[in-house]
This record gives sequence, C-alpha cells and structure tokens, in this order.
Amino acid sequence: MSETISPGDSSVDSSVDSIGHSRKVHFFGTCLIDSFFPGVGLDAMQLIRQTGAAVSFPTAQTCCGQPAWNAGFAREARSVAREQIRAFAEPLPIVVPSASCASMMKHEYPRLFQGDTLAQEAQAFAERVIELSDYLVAAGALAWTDQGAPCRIAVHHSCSAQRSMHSHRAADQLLGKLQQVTRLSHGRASECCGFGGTFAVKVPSLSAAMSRDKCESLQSTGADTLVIGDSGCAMNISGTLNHRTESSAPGRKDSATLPEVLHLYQFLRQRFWPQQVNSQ
Amino acid sequence: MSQDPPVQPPTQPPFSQRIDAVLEDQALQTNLRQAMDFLVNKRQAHFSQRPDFEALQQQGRDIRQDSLDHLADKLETLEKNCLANGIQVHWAEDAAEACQIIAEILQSQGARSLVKGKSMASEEIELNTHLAGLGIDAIETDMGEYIVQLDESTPSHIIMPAIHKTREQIAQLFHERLGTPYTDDVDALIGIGREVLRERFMQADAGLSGVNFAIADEGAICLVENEGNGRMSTTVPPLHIALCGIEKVLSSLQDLPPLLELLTKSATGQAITTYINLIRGPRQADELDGPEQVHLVLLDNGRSAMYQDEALQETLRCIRCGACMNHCPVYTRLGGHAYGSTYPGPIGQVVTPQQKGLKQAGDLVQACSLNGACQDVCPVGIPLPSLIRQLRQDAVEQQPQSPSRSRDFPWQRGSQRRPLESLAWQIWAFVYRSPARYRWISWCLSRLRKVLPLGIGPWAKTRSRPQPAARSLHEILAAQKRRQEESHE
Amino acid sequence: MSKSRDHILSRLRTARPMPMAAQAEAADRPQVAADRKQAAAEPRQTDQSSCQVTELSQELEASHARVIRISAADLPAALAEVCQHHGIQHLMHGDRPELASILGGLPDSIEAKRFERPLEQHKTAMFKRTQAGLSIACAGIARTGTLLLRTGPEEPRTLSLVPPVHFVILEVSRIVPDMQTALAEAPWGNRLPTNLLMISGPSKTADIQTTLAYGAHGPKVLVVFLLEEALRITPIAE
Repeated sequence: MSETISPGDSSVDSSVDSIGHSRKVHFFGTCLIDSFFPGVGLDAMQLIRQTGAAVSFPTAQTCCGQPAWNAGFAREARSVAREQIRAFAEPLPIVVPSASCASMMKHEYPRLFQGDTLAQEAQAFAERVIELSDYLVAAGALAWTDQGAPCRIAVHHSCSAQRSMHSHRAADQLLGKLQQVTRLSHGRASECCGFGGTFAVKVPSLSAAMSRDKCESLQSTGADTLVIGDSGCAMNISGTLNHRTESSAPGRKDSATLPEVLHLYQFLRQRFWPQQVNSQ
Repeated sequence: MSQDPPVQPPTQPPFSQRIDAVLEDQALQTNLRQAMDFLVNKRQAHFSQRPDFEALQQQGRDIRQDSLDHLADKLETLEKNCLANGIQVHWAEDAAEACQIIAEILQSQGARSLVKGKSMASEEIELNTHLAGLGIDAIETDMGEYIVQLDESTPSHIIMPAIHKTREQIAQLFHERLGTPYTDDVDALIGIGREVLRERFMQADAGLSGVNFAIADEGAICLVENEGNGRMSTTVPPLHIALCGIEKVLSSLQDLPPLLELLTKSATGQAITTYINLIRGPRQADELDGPEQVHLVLLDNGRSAMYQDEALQETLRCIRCGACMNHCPVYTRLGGHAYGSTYPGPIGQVVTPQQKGLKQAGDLVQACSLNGACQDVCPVGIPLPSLIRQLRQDAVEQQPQSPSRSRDFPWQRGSQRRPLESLAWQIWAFVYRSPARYRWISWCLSRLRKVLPLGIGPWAKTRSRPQPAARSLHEILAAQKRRQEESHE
Repeated sequence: MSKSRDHILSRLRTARPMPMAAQAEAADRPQVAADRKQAAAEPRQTDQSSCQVTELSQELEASHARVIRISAADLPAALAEVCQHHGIQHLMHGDRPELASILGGLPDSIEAKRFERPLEQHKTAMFKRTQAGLSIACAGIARTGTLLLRTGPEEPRTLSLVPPVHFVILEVSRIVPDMQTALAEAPWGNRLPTNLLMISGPSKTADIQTTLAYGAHGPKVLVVFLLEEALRITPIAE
C-alpha cells in the first residue's frame, strides 16, 4: 500500500515537533538491543547526539514488558513496566529505537496501569515516548547527507512501525535522503515477517512459513543489503536466511548469495556519520 | 443461562496438528493466497485514500456503537414495529432453542423442504444437522454454500464459502455428485447450479435467510447479495424465516447507506451489491406474491454475555464483512477450516472463545502475531489485536487484574494457565524488574553465550542460533562512563 | 418463549459500567443522530441531473447491464427490438396503466401477460415459460447505478427475479445522486413497501475461484430503458 507523505502530514504532530527541539533526551535501549545488538544501541545514541541533543541512559532500565503483556501475563508485565516508569522519572522525552517497544510504552502502558496508583504517571510517561525515526526527523536529521558508496537495499518495516506508531514514514523520509542508495521494492511489504514475539515459539510452523515468505520476497529484489527496522524482525529474518544457507550446505556459509542484514539505525549511522566510530 | 458450555467431543485433531497439515498442502496454500490477494486488491481499489476510509470507518463505528449502547431498547422497538408490520418475532437464548423454534415453525406449516439463503448464524447453530434429524431437507442456495454442502463440508470463509477450492475441484464435485458431464468452465458450472437450485426454489415449502441489518424504527430487515438466491428464498416459498443475531440492529434507515458502503466495499470490493432487499412484511392482502408468513428469530447464543464485558463488547460491532480474515497473514495460510469454528480469522479468534469457552477454544488466540492488519481494515474499528491479547490474559489469569473488568466471566477464566509457563513468566518478571538481577543475568547470557542451549527449541528449527553479544549495551555504556570519569580525574 | 425474551433483555440491561473514555465517546455520539437528520434534510441537487444520468448509465454498464436512452415515443420499438434480440416470446408485467401504450406497440409474436393472479396459480409457468419481466422503477441512484423498485400489487416481487431477462423503465427525472438521498426522499410514500428492492445489475457470483459469472439465480440479463420524459397513462384505444 503506497502512501505519499505530504508536507502537512499529521503523522508528526506538534508535540513531536517540540520534542525535536529538546536539548536532552532519554534513550531506552530495549532488551533485544541490550543483549543481542548493542552496536545498534550505540549507533542509535550516536544519531541522537548528531542532532545536537545530549543523551541520558538511565541505567535502571531493563525491558518494556511487552513479551509478558502480549502473552497475557499482565501482572508480570506491570511489575516490570513499573520499574521503567520509575527509571525514566526525569521529565525528558524518551526516545526508543524500536516501534514495537515504543508502541508498548505509548499505547499499552495507560491500559496496563488503568485503575492503578501509577495511572497518571503512566499516562505522563506514555506521552513522552517517541520512536527514534520520528525523533530524528523532528530534530532536523533530514538535513544530513549521505556519505556512503552506492548500494542497493530492500527495506522491512515492523508491523508496529507501519500500523501502530506510523514511524515508518519518518524512516522512509530518512532513507529517502540517502542519495547513493537505490531502494528496491518487494511484494507484500506490509505483511508481517512472522516474528510476533512469543508467536514464533508458540506457533512455530506458522511463524516459519511467514518468515520464509518474507525472506524470499526480500531476497528476490536482488538487493545487497536488507535494512530492517526492528531487532526482533532482524533476528528473525537473518536467522531464517542463515539457517536456509546452513541447511542447504552444512558448514559452508555461502556469503556470496546472502544479502547483508543491517538494522535500520546501524545503516543510517553508517551512511550519515561513518566517521563517528563506536568506541567499545 | 448455562454455566459451562457443553464439552465438545474431540472430533478433530488438535489445532497445532491442523496447522501443520494445511501448511503442507501446497495446492491449498496457492488457492488461498490467490483468493486473498484478489479480495485485498478489490477492496484497496475503493479505499486507496486512507483518510477517506478512516472517516467512513469512524462513522460506521459510531453508528454501530450507538446501536449497541441502547441495544435492549432497540430490540424492543424492532419487535414492536415488526409485529405491527405482520412479522412474527421469536427470541432464542441459545443455539438449541433457535433450532427448536425454527423446527417448530417449519413443522407447524408442514414444511419438509427448506431453501437457505446465506446465513452464518445458521451455521453457528448447526441448523442443517438439527433439521436433518427431523426429516426436513435444508438445501443451501448460495453458490459457494451449495458447493460446500455438496462436498459435505463447511464454509471456509464467511463471504466466499468455497474459496479454498479450485474450479477443477468444483467441476469434479459437480460431475460426481450431480451426474452432469464434467466441465470446468465457470459459466457452465454456474449454469448447472442455477438449474438445480431453480427447481428447489420452485418447490420449497419454506425459505430461511440471515439478516445483514435489522432496522428498529421501520420494523424491517435488510439483506444484501449478488446472486439472487436470498431473494428467491425469501420471496417464492410461502414461509420465510429470518435468523438474526441480536447485535445486528440499527436505529433507522439513514444508518444504512454508510454501513452498506462499508460492508460491500470491505467484503468484495464492490460499491454496491447486485441486490439489496428491505423486507418490511409478509404478503399483504392485495399482493400477488411473497411469503404468507415472515418470522424473525432473534438469536442470543452468547451475545448478551459478550455485551456485558466492557472490553469484549466491541466484538458485537462486527458487520460480517470478512476484511479482517482477507488481510490476516495467518488466515491466508490456514484457510477457514483449520480454525475449527464457524467464524474463522481474527473475528473468529475473538468470537469463538466467547461462545465455546477458553478451555475449548483458548488455543485459537495463540495463532496471532498481533501484526494489526485486521484492525487497520475493520470497517467498524474493532480493536481485534487488543481483544485477542485480552483473551490471552483471561485465559491465563485466575483473577481479573483490571478493576473495571467484570468478575463474572462465563468463559472459563484461567483455563489455559500452565504451571510451567506461569513460572517462566514469574521468573522473567523477577529478573527484569530488578536492574541488579537483570544485569547479572545479562552478564551470564553474554559470558555463556557460546554454550547456552539457544540452538534447541522451536525457534531454532528454522533459524540459525541467536547469539548474545559479548558485552551488553549496559556494560559497554558503563565502561565508557568509567573511562570518561577516569580521564577527568 | 417470552422467558427467553425476558432473560435476554434483562442481561442486556444489567448495569454495565461504561468506562470514562467510553462515556466521553458516547457523549460525542448525538452527532450520529444529528448526521442522520441532516442527511434526511439535504435537498437534491437538480442541476447535476445530466451528469447523474451519465453516471447511472456508466455504473450499470460496468455491472453488465444494458442501458438504452430513449423517448417514450420510441420505447415500444426499442423494447420490441430488445425482445427480438433475446428471443423473448413470453413477457410478463405488472398491473400498470402506464404500460398500456408501450405494450400495445409490441408485435404479436411477443405475448405480454399481466401478472394478475397469485403466484401459486402460475408458478410453474413463471419459472419455466416466462422469459422476461418488465418493471417500472420508482427511482434511480446515480453513484452506484441502482434501480429502486417498490413492490406491491402492481409490481410483484418475482417479476424482477424469476424470469431470466429483466427490463426496467426509469424516468431520468427520478434519478438521485446517492442512496442517502434516495432513502430520505422516500419515493415510495410514507411507509416502506413490503419489499424495497435495490437492483444494480444482473445476478452474478464469483464463488468459483473468484471468477465472475452472470445469471447465478436472478436474471442473467438486465436492460434499462432511461426515459427522458415521464410515462403517461394514455387511454387504452378500444
């Protein structure tokens, strides 16, 4: 489903505009990035700094609680969510490099805490949450220039980005600024990749079928690089791609035929700010 | 009202097995994909401008919710006006009572043959089986329904019942069951169906239809269709019985145009269906055709219980368009039969546990990645992913967590709670709500990453082993901070 | 039976506390009633009529109906020609004085019978012998290419349903822009007819592998005669 972004598009509303002028913001790393893709976290923080804002990383943060919430374990989800609200008490915008975690905190926390003593705080917290792509566009990242070499990419946006946060529009605007990048389109781009959190382990054959279809669709573009907007989707897609290669030729990674899989924020940092090496 | 729904005898393999079986059926996968693409594209042609759709969707949502908010009053108004128009009105609390009422009406008129227009509600109450037991022959006349009836099967989609079949399969079916020469030409097949069913319309003692919308202020029912079998069933036989879910009520005629537009564009991508029929009464004294008797059977069958739950009552806005299942990546791969319920797809995953209980139907709510495609296209804005998530919660918790949820939850709250799973989430929460414990587990994960058994389990059957990073983001940032502090000293 | 009614209604009336958000939403919904009133009151835009005729025609043709724009004087000849084209020898019509002059102009090869007895007395003939039904529409909807038929003693329901060919006469002055207007104007008087039919093409189905086919159960052919002027009741020449 193609949509054109018009200048007056209300996907970036006035509160986001004001967030774009912040001098300091919080960063919520997400548990997947923390454990599996810390480099992406560093890239994301770097992107924020390049807008001129300072980044606060409250060290008490752990997880937004979505896995438990989606599985129906509300009490467990709430106990973890409570800690995030407390950790981010300082009233700064909370920038999140994942639409699914951002959606959980923005749309579901008020529901999670309905009737709870923290109800008002949860609401105030939710209002400060912004997905990283939306933040970057609001903070002027569209003025950046592409420093990378020509390449061909295919892009996958998460379901949360496309339907819940609508941050895929901002992400597309940012990708659109990359003059040296050719973006190839693929069929059924808005269809779920099959990750779905615990869906992947609870209904594995269905999840596998969806993942396989998504990989085939992305690969059929012939792109050198797959840019994935969410870590869960990225784990799923790169895991599926690698497994297919391994199983077809055990022990041999045929890297010549596999596209590179990069997280959206990893890719953007490499293209816009390659000289900012992540100090580890 | 009965406390526990009757336990269904296990007539089909468990859901997970059914899923695996259909995924391996390549022909079905191709059929379904083609059919869903067709329906999705047809709808998209009408709703390509999202803001226009959203405005209409909001209108549809408001009209439906307004009706629901005053449902009891609307139903009484409907009844009063129907009676004044000469339509007889009956109330059925459950499926058994509905079958009984319909059977009694038929038997009182000596009706032995019944032609059926399309009615998902009649599938819900398993009417045909009940009538067969009484020697009353009920024949489906919607082409798709007729095909699945010949096939001794059930509809796999609420709008296009035979969507899982190719025309070659249907050609073979007609040839075998009807004895007509084999032809897979669609026009010829439709012609055969037309001839067979025309005889039945002519001879039938009674006709049964569903109801798309019941108009309270007019005491009338509205039926939409493309084929004409609905009109045949409700016009030619001397007796017409209309089966109507109690949630289908609208206030006035003016509510119809936006809802009809939403229904037809969402269901089949049509601006309007071939026929829309507003039936206000039986044959009048000076009229020359039409049924002598028209009966309206109002069906509850769990709807009033759904109504009482503040979250789940949104389910009742449904206008049965099928858009949710057309856009669902799970339905596209499973087809309707794998769900094992009258209503498949996202709406089925929400309705069925509320009708059959979570014990029996609780696993349906697991087959969802919460991707939200369904909610995006629902013409009346039902928040299907939220409701599915809510039902998951109801399935595993013994006490309602939210103070606004009713304590009286008649569908076996907590019946899907598994000790191991609960323990796993409790441990997860124990770790993740404590920054210190979390950092400790993180450390273990990263240091033991090469030996941890992350390569087993369902995830790893089709994906390469995920590997935690050597150091977590927390660790890296803490180290950076320490270095900065040291360099400032 | 009435016990069930009481149970159902009492369950629906059991106090279901509406959450604050829903109450606020419900407070917005008087808009629904207001919208209805406004829709009912909006006057028809008569200056759009020629566009509406075109729109109606195009929509009907897109739905596989045939549309013939004609004057009342030329209608009998046009009807005869269409009958001949479809091999119609047995035509049925309702008890309409307006049709007298039209039917009078048909050749003898076409038997035009009036539907004047209850269906039961001629059901087999209706199903097996009658090849075409002739109706007069009480209104047309431009946006969707829809004909409104008001059933009654002079327009039996089966006339537009059972014969495989259906002819409909519609005066262009009766065309309205959309369904909202049609329902608001209520060209059937102050009470709904026992059946209000909205017909937007010949019968069709896509139930076999999503392939479109016509003539599922209703008429396979729909021909619409759009009359520039009003049908007049002319005295029957003796």
